[in-house]
Amino acid sequence: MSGWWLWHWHDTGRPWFPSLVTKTTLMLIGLVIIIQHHGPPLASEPAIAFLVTLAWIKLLEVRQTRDVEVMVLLGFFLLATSFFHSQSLPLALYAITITPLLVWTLILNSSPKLSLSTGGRRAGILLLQSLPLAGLMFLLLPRFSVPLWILPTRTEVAKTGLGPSMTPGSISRLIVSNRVAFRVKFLSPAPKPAQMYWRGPVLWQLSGETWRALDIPLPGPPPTSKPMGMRWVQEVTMEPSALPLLFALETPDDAPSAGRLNRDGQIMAINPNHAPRRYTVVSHAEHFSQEPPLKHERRLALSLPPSGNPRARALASGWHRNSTSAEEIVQAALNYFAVHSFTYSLTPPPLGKDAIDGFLFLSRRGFCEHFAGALTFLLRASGIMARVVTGYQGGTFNPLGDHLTVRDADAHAWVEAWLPQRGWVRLDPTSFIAPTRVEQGIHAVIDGQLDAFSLMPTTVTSLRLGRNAWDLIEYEWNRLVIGFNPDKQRAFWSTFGLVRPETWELLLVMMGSVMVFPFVWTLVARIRSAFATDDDPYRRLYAQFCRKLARAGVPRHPWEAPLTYGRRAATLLPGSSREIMLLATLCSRWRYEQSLSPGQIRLWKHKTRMFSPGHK
Amino acid sequence: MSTFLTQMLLAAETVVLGKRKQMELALCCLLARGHLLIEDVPGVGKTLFAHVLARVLGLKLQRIQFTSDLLPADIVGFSIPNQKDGRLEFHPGPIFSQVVLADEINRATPKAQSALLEAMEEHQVTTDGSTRNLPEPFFVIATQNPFTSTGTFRLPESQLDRFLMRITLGYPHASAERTLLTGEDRRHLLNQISSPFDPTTLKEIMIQVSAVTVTEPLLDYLQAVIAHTRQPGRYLTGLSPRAGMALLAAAKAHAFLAGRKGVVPEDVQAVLPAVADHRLVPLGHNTGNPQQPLATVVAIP
Repeated sequence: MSGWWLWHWHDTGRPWFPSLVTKTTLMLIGLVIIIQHHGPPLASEPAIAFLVTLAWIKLLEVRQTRDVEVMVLLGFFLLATSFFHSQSLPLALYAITITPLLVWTLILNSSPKLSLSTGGRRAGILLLQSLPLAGLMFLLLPRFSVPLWILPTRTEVAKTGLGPSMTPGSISRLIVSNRVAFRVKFLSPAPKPAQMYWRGPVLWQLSGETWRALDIPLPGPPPTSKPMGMRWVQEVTMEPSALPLLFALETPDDAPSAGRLNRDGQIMAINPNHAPRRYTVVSHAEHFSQEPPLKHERRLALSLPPSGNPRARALASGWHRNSTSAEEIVQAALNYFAVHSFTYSLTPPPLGKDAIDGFLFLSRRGFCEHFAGALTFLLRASGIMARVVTGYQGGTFNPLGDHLTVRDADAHAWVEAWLPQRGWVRLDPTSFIAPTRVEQGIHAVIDGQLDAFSLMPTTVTSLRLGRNAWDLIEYEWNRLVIGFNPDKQRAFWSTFGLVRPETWELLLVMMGSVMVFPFVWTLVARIRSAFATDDDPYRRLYAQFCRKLARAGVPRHPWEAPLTYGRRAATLLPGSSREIMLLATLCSRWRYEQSLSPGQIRLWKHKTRMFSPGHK
Repeated sequence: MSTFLTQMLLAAETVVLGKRKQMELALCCLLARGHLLIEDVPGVGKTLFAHVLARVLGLKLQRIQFTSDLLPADIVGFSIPNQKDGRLEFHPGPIFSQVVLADEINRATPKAQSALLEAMEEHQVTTDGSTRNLPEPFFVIATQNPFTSTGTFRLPESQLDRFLMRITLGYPHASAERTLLTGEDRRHLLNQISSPFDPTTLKEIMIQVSAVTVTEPLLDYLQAVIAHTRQPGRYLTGLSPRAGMALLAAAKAHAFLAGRKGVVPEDVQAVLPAVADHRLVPLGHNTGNPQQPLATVVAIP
């Protein structure tokens, strides 16, 4: 389309400006396409898409300076809307690239005589000057944990990662995803890889092949428990996620301020994870609790579909009959996986109707979700309370940032069984089948099973280094910029003695600073110029004059006195010859004739400040 | 530009064609109470130029044609006994005039030259033991052919220092030359020009010229110029203190003619070649490519 437009311009000698009918038609076509693609244009995404369409049509009727200004403003607005969608580093880099271009366009548009480079320099200076203000706004502008308004967005759908359910294949599909789930910095000694179980959704219900979390989490406070073993302090920076969960190592002591610990030992986020967030959480290797499960927990933890998988049920009831304690049954179940030759595989064969039977007795090839699902089924069938826990296991240590990066590829599923003397106990059948998965991470197991393109080979040193570096930059961006949340802001302010300032107080300080800023600026300028009068304005004003002319492409020769220099500059810059001659004469008269009245000095100062010669 | 200068230049230009710059410098020289040396090949109008200059200033001019047999007495005058009472009576020479045109000064012997040069410096002559003052104002306009002409006695550097300025006229432009060829006789025209002012006004003007403001920064520049010429390796000798004073006086006159209350560096730069060039001998190694003009070498402090 653009090509055709340019061709038309070239061909007919003038650009094509479409008629009102054409433009309206284009707009309607755009609207229809957007509705088809996105649904009704009430959510933010279709609205922005529509705005982009309108901007594109507006481009076709840019005739005057004013139109360009409108386009640039629209560009700024569109750039800002893209932050609704994501606040990632690449988008920030994109905005950093686009903003100067827009400012540049605006400057060149308003003063067409400027050369490209001068306009660019001016845009750069302007943006640099705005940096302190931007920094101030960043530090001071009140943050809201809740967005001020929530437009219905459809972005959640697009977010990948762990879901609130598990079917065979749902986790192995995540293995090829490089998306970062969260990053962790340990403020205490780090746990061993085999100890790193990041607790995610707890799945109670089985229907068909699918394990599901409860729609409504179990009511009641978390069971009272006693922390035991190693203590791990983690600072987690989480990427946006569809799950309303805050990840932490098993088992967290308490929830951070942004979440709540529930009975399942999960930390539920109070607000949805729309944006990256950062929190600190303390976990212990174990939480010992003898509190028995509640009645409905017991019912849920033993429930099975009414029929299906008869061989598995038969196996389990055999264990039930021959065992005297729950521990024995658990041992028997785990032994079953250890004794029979199960294979850890990304590409298990498709299983038929009784999928668990097929897996346990025929194929014996599967991924963690197969093992976890089958073990839970067996335990429930033999009368042991059990549930599936999904989450992440392990992670990649980034030596550059000294942090751990957990990706979707690290997704994992394991089992928890309730034993009378010990409470909920974690059982990971995968660790029997493929101990390296748990000890060395997912890549140790699956790299050979994937083709080179679907997963970045982590064995190539330079690639790994580049990946680590990018990971570090992204981590710091999320930690320092995005993660500058209300808590951090308050902490920052408390270093200035403002203990827990309220939002309105911050607003007040910010508005105050913004108002004080120009005042202080003017004051400093006044004081400086007041002192300069007593001294010699020549040095300052003439230097300024020379600097401006030099920037315009006419530097002074050292032997040139003001008048000669002015005359030469005036010939070279005919556009501002009058100002140049006036200022040169004033400079010369002050210095060599000492015949300037106070009024002339004021004029001289004013004119020098305002002086802006066009470029050569 | 002051009205005086405009008037004088306009008057002069009716006779001397296309020499505005030189005329301006010459006026500066005379307003600064200095003597002028015009150096050029024969026939470019040196003598006419001097005549016009005296005319526009409203001054009386006496011409002395310097020849190899010219005696000092021919310049300053001589005493002879009175026929009636036998007492010595002084007959003033042509030097007793407001403007003395010393034509072809380098054709005379050094002895005759020095008689003139002494009078220039002292503004008085001593003969027969008595001292006689010369009229005020007193200017000498000397003309000289370049020393390559045969049979001449080149003025030594020490003597050249007595001239405030040395200017050259050069050949006229083609259009000026055409007018010259087709127009009236120049000498005839000379009689038609008159001075815009009388000698008393000239005196006042010269007082005003010496009262032009000179600021510290300007003196800094002036001294920087002088210091530059005294740097070893540039010139045989640097500018003398007298040259420095001459430079300042000429710059003042230039500023006055431009209608300024104070001297600007541009004034110094304008008179600098005429004031300094004949006092400076560039050192040998760069005779091949002439040195850059002083005005474009010294930085403005």
